[in-house]
This record gives sequence, C-alpha cells and structure tokens, in this order.
Amino acid sequence: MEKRNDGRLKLYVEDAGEQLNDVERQLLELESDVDAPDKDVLNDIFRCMHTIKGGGDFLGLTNITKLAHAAEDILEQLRSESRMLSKLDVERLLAAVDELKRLLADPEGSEDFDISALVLSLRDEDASQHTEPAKVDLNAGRNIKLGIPGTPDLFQVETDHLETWQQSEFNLFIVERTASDNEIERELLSGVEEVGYLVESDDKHILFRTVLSRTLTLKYLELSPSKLYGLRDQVGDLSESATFHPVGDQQLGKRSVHQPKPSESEIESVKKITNETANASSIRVNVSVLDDLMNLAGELVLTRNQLNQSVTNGDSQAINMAAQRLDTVTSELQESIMSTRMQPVSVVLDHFHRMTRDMSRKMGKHVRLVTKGEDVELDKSIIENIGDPLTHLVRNAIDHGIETVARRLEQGKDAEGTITIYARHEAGHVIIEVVDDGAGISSEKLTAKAIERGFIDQQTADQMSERDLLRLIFLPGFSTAEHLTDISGRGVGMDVVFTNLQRLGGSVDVDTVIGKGTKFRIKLPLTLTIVPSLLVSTQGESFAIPQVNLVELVRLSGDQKNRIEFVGDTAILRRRGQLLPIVWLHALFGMDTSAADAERRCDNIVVVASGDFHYGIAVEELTDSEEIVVKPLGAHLRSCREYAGATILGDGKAALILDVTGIADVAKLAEVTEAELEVADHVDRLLKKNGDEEKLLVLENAEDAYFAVQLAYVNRIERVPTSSLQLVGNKEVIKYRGGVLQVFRLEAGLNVSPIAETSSIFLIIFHMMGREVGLVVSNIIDVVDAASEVDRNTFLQTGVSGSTLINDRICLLLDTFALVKHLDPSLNADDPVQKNQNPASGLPATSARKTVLVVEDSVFFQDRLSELLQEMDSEVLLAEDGQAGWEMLDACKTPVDVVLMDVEMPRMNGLELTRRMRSDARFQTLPIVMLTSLAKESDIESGKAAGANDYLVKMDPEMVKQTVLKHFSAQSEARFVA
Amino acid sequence: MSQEITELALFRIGSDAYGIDIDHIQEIDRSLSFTKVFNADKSIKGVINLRGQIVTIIDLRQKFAYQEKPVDPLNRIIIVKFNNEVVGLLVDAMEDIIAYDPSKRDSRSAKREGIDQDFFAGIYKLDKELVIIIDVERVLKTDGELING
Repeated sequence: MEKRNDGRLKLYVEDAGEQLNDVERQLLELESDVDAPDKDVLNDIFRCMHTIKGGGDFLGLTNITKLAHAAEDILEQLRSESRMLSKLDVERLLAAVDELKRLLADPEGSEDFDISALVLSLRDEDASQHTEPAKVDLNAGRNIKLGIPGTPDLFQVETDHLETWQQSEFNLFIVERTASDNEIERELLSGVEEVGYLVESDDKHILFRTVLSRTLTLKYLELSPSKLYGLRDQVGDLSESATFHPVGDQQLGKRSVHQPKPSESEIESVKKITNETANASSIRVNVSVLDDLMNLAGELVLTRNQLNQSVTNGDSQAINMAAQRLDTVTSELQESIMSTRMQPVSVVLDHFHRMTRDMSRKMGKHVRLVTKGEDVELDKSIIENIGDPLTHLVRNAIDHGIETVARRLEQGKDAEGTITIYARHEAGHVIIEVVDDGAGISSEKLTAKAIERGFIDQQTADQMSERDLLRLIFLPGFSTAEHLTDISGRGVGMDVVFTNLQRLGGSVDVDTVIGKGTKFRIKLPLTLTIVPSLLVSTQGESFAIPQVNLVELVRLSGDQKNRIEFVGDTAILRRRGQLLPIVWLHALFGMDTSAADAERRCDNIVVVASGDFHYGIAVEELTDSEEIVVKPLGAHLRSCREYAGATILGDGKAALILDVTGIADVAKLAEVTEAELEVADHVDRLLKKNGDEEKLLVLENAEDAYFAVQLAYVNRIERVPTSSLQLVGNKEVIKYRGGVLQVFRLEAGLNVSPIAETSSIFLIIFHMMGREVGLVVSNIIDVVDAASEVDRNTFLQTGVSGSTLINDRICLLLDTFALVKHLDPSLNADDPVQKNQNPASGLPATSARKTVLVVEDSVFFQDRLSELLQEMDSEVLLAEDGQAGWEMLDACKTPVDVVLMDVEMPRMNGLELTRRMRSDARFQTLPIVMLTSLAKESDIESGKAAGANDYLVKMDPEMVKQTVLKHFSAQSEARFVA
Repeated sequence: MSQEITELALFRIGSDAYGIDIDHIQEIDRSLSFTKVFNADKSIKGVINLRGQIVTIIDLRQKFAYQEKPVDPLNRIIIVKFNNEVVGLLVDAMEDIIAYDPSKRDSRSAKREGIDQDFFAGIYKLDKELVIIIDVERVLKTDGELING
C-alpha cells in the first residue's frame, strides 16, 4: 500500500467497519425469520457488500474484494429469488462478515490471510473438488461418520463438535424425511429448529441435535417412533471406537457443514470488538453541531473584544455586561462541545445481538435479544466503559438466567427466552435495564451459598431484606451457578460489574421473581468530565463532593451535638430513625486536631451515599455549589482512595474531589444497628459511672460464677449473637469489623461452670501480642473500685491471679493474658511484639523493670540486642523498622524508657523516626540511642542534629550496655526528683 | 540512564548540589501554592494547577531525607515528564545549566544515609564541589512498578 493512500484507506476501513456492523445486525434479523426474508433488508445488505467490494477493489485489497464479491453473489441470488434463504446461508454470510472484519482490522496484511476455504463455502463449492488444495488444519478434530442401521455413513461430524454437544447434554437424532410434500417438509424443518439445531441434512435425512429427550422430541415433532433414530445411544461414549467410523482429514469438507463453534475466545473477540468500537479514535459529529460550535467560537471572539475594550475604557458597567455574556457563551460552548462527545448507546448494544446468538447456540438455549432506546446518548467516556459490565450482565442472563428449552417448555414458557436491554433518560441520569424472563435468582440459594462461603451468618441473613440478600451477588467471589461454565460463572463477574459501574459514578440494582425473571437496573450519570459538586472546607482546605453522592446536608445546632452517640470509636448521628456513622474530615486527614474546638467547629454534616450505605462527613464550612471539571490524579497518588480526582477552582488553585466510597473504606465505616448502639450505651453508662481506669470490670459467665478483669486492659465490649461464633479448626472465631477475631471461653481454661445458654453473648476485647482477642462472657455486671483484699491462694490456677469479694460475691480475678496464652500457646509464636506485653494480672503491675524499644530491621541484630537487654533484666519491645517503631510508640500504653534504633531501615529510617519523635511532645525527652555500622563524623552529626542522644557503632556490646544503663539511671534520678 | 547526557541542570537541596539530565525537564515553575494531599505519602508536597493540568509535586528534600524546611521564594519546581505524566520536583533552588563533560564523571557511586542508593546515577566533579546526578526514573518510580535498566 502506498503511503499517499493512507487517509483514504483509513476512511474506507472506518466506513466498511460500520457497514459490516449494520450487515451483521440485519443478518441476525433475517435469521429470525428465514422463510419470509424482508426484501428491503436483503437489498440493504446487498448494497453494503457491494460498497465494500467496490472500495476494496479501488484500494487494491484483493482478498477483501474477493470475499465481499462471493458474499455479494449469494445476496444477489437471494435478492432475485433464485435462491431460498436458509439458515446455512445466514451462517455463511455471518462467517464472511467476521472474516471481513478481521481483514479490515489489518488491511495492509490482509493479503496474507487464506480466505479460499471461506470463499468456496460461499460459492457452495466443494473444497476437495477444487484444484486448489484445501487447507489442512492440523488442529481440526477427526470426522466421525454417523448413520442409521443399513446406511452407516449418512453424515460426517467433527469429533470436537460431538464432544461439545455431549458435554452440553445434547441428544443427536436423525429423522427420515417423509415425503416430498413441501408443506410437511417445511413444518418438520421449522420444528427441528424449534427443538434444537439442524446439523446437516440431505434429501432423505436430517441430522439434528436437541436437548429434549426422545419422547419429548417425538411429541413435539409429531413423528412416528420409527422415523426418529436416536444417535446418542449409538455414539455413546466417544472412546468406543466400534460405534463410529473415523475418516481422514483430506475428506474434510465433504458435506460437512461449517458448524458455528462459539468458543470463549470468540466471545472474547466479540467483547473486544465492542471495546474497539467504543474506543474508536474518531467519532462522527453532526454538521449542525459543528456549525453551532463555529457560531459560539465567533461569539467568544466578539465577547473578548468587548471585554478588552471595556477594560481599556475602564467602563465597569460594560465589563459587567461582557462578563455576563462570557458566562452565557461559555456555558453554551461547553454544552455544544459535550454534545460532540455524546454517543448513542447503540454503539455498545448492537454487538450484543451477535454475542447472544453465538452464546445461546453454544449453551443450547434459545434466546432472543431485544434492545430498546438505542438512541439514548451518553458521554464517550461512559460508553467506553459500560461495555464490560453490560457484557457480564448479558452473559449471566444467558448462562444462569434463561433456562434450557426443555425446562422452559415444562414450565409452560415460550421455548425462546427473551433478554431486553432498555436504555432511557430519567431525572438527569441514564438508566439501562437488562431484563431476562428466565429462572430468576433464588434468594434462598443465594443465602445458603453466602453462609457457606462465610460472607454472612444465618442470623444476619434472617435480618436482611430480600433486596439486600440479592445484592450479595455483587460480592467478590460469588457465583450462583451450581456448576462453573466457561462462559460465565467463574465467580468473578458480578463484582466486576459492580465496581466498574461504581467507578463510573453509577450504581446497579437487582430485582428478581422466581420463575419469572431478573432485572438489573443500571443508573449512570450523563457525563463524567464535568460534574456538579458541593465545595466544602475544613481548616482552610477546600474539597469537592460530587452532587450525585449527596443525600442531604445537616447542620448541627448546639444541643444536637450532644445527640451524637458512640459505638466503639464510631460517632453516630441519629437521623429520622437512621443511624449515620460520622467521619470528621480533619480527623480522617490527620489535620491539626490539637485545636480544642476543631471538632466543635465542624457543625455541618454532609450526608453522602456510597451505594446503599449512608454516612456523614463533618466539615467546617459549606462553601459553594459549582460545576467542576474532573481531572485525574497522578500515578503517585493512585493509592489514595480518599480522592476521586482533582479540579481547579475559580481562584486557579487545585482542589481535591472526595471519593465517598473510598472514604468509607479508609475510615472503616460500617452500618451500625440499634442493638450495637444499645450495648455501647450500656457499657458507656457503666464506664461513666466510674470513669477511672483503676477499676475492675465484673463479669458473669454462668449463674453465680463471677469474674473481674482490670478495666484498663479492656479495649472494647461488644454484644454479639451467640450463633455468630464459629469454629475454624480448633479455634473459635468471630467475624468482626472486617476481620477475624479469635475468642476464648473461660470454661476452656478454668475449672468453672460453662457459659449460660443465651442467644447473645458479650465479648470483652483485649489487645494482646499486637492483635485483638476476645473473651466470651454471658453478662456484664458492674464496674467497681479495685479490690482491696485479694486472696491469692484459694482459687489460684493458670489465668486466675486471685479472688476477692465484690458486693458479697466471690469474684475470680482474671489474668487474661496468662489465660489466653495458656489456651492458645501459638499466639506466642512468630510475633515480633511478643515480649512487649507485661502480662496483665488482675492487679496492677508493680515491677520497676525498664523497657527498651529496639527498632532494627536485621533479625540478627534484633536477637543480639534482645539477649543483651534481657541480661540487663529489662523488657524488650521489637520493631522491624521506623514505621513499626513509631506505631508502637504511638499506640503502646507501656511507657518506654530508652529507644535503641538502627539508622538504615526500610519504610522509615532512624533519622526520620528520631525527628518524628522529637516533634511529638510525648517523646521529646525520651532517650534515643542510634546504632549503626557507619560512624563517620558527618553521620554522627546528622544523627545528633535529628535529636538522638547517643550514636554508637553497632555491636560493641559493652558500649551499648553502658549507654543504656546511663540513660536508665539518669531517668531514675529524674523520677526520684519528680 | 541509557541515553547520553548533553547538559546538566544544577539545583540545590540544603548545602548539597544535585544535577539532573536536562532532557528530562519540561520547564521550571515557580508557583508555590500547593494543595496539600492529605493521607498521601509524606514525600508528596501536594498538587498544583499547571495551566489546567493537575501536577503531583514530589518534595526532594523529603525524598532525600533532609530535614523539613518551610517553602521559601527561592524554591523551584522542576517539571519533568515521567511515564506520560507530568510530575514536579520541589527543590530548594535552581542554579545553573552546564554542558556535560563525560570525563568529569566520577566513578564512585553516590550515597546518602537513609535513602535508596538507586536514586543517584553518579557523581560529577565541578571545580569547587561534587554534584550528585539523580536518576529521575528511579526517584519517581511508584510502588510495584518495575523499570528497565
């Protein structure tokens, strides 16, 4: 191809591509009514093929021309009625369309494709008789002869096909043609097409496959039993070679029909085409839109002149007018430009016809696809991205929704299932519905599966609404198909639909009636690039929240602020019977919270919706409502899920757009139930009554079995249904706050009566070995002052440090840490912080041992230093890098006396950690000893500059010891003085 | 750095001189009104609006483990192209642009306590001091991203 033809070639390829899409759609239309083809449609198809042929010829694309010519020949015969349209013809023409598309995808290399076989099949010619040798496809399966008693080789079928059919549980039948009576013939043929698929036929016999049983087939076709030969019995197991007759590849093609074999890859290719079309690099724009744009551009120039002039003259009134005009022109210009980006949904929908046809054939189902509202327009960016989710939905509908023909007939439904895709505008959004009239989704099956997979438990399931249950299918790793098939149901899919649509700012809902069908309802914004948003600010920082996510705005007046309740750390606002978790923007973003009134100033709550989940974002100010232009964030910020992008404000500054779904995830917000709130209140009251941490929490496990734990060690108290406890291996666990919490029962480790049988239990949650564990008790009795008299002998056992009398009851003082360790020794293993917890006894620890935090990434040095420090009888906390060290310091309740740290560490190095500690009031005077292998003068300088007290060369044990001791003693003195 | 450097742009962080291959540079920007991106990596100073484009600004001071320092008017942003994206590098000050003389390249490799040695492509000798040449691609590489060479 010469270079100068490039532009022309591109035009041709685009144009021919569009024409082929039309042809494909029209062929499918013809296929639905082969007996009475619409002449206009035939004419249209003919014209398209003719154009493609002509263009190809002009550009010297021989193969394309040849193929289009062969197709045109068939169409000519059909058009002139010298040939009756058959399903086979449609099949061949579709094959030609597919091949043409492939050729057009690479016009330059199109001459290298071998299209001879296809051209021959289009010409009804037998490949083997042709002088050109038929291409031998080494991958093609062998052929099998099929026949009836007496004539064993009536037909030939590829073994591949047979296998596929067998897997899909097709029965093969040969039916004897009765008479030459056309009427009956036609009835028989159409009957065969209704119950299954015609595989091959000659003048005496018809070979077809169907999912129906022999009896049903006989009934349906109204045949006498002697005319119908069941081949399935004869073929039987394919490995039995005696029942069929393989022939060589050379004879391939002889009367063997080109059989469609839609494979996964073929369906993938349909998908690819969908995407390719949608992602086309050029789009068509109506000339009138271009004219509009030109006019507006003209007006823009005029307005600019006006503005320039009035600025020069200093005429403020004129400036105002010009500004107003500019505003109007800009809006109009924006609208017009947006409209050039709008594309009809048909771009995507058109491809589903073919996909449905091919897939349903493969599945042995009869499915008709109806599309409505193809003219509805959406922004290019959305069109590009709805292909995938819609493909998933349609696939699912065909695979799981629509039943097999037999099942449908049994239920008195039409043999043919219908899938409707319906697009329409609704209140500023575009709604796309994918409706099938199939089996529907059984919420019971869904629930069972969800429980089996551990997504929910029975109790939760009982409390969930039908709608919520249905939404379970959008969870990752969920599939409703009992068997996984290669078309859909690989357990991915629905969650992909969900996340894809959510990314587009859309949502999806599902509605189903058992036996009647399923409806997926997708809601999409018209465009993604310009979105109306609410601008909010906190501590002078502005953020945009897309209007689509807004539910309402709530302003808290003074007394309402007291109505905020707490469940654990989550703040809850009660709003019209709804419990809304609240997240403070300044807290989420780690802004300056030291300002005492930081929280008080945030009296505006923006209630947002992330799917069905509503929550509030507390901000200081609501600034404005504005249409903002969405700009993507760079690669370095991709991990920040709090943001959906950025925009540029009127003052030219960049502002971030909040992603409400991301924020809910990051802030770990979850729906809160009344029950949870109630427990929280109860515990709250107990704690308020005695706010001091030097208290004991009194628990009841069984009647008259009382225990007490140090309140200071309790992280949280929760009430959960007893049924939510699960045994995994030999451990008892509960799903808790998005993770798994291991729980322990008192009776497992102590010689006490087992827990009373109730429907719900209390979990006392502790921090232990860097994670949380729960202790199961049946009730919380009270919070009391620490016991004065403790009997350390009578009830002593592992996990109990003594007993005391509280309100005339004998309470066992629990040493929870010892108890848990005793129950699950594995909790000790491989835990970097194992040595950090001073085992909590029921009484406050009195040890005066020193605690040293070792921040070191090398295990070797960790061990050496631990040894060294333990020799000195001090507690050792280990952190593998600066970040971990900081987290430990930040969270740890145990005071640390000295920090030993390495300098070079991943994530956060020693210098950074030191600086960080020094900038925090809590650690300003905490002694820091830096250990490193580098001891250049400049290194020591920078270490000291960062705030380290000492800088030591690593593994000079004596030196390390001395230095640490020095700090210990210095501290003791300081304490003494204090 | 696979391609031959022709010119080096010199900049300063603290008292140290650094150099960057001029071919990487799109422009030098002096607008210093950053929009802070909360919860982002600490080496990210924020984002700016560069003629309608949102550009992420990496604080080289932070990235190269220098002590934090408030932004002053001498600070500049070196705008570089990276993976089809425009990214800004915040430096203390821009200095000079010099012709690159391969013979002045020092064979030693540059090191700085506490940061990834890969950030540096080498050392370049000037009359009065040594200049550390930075490897822009490695400095800008995001997690989980592998780069060649």
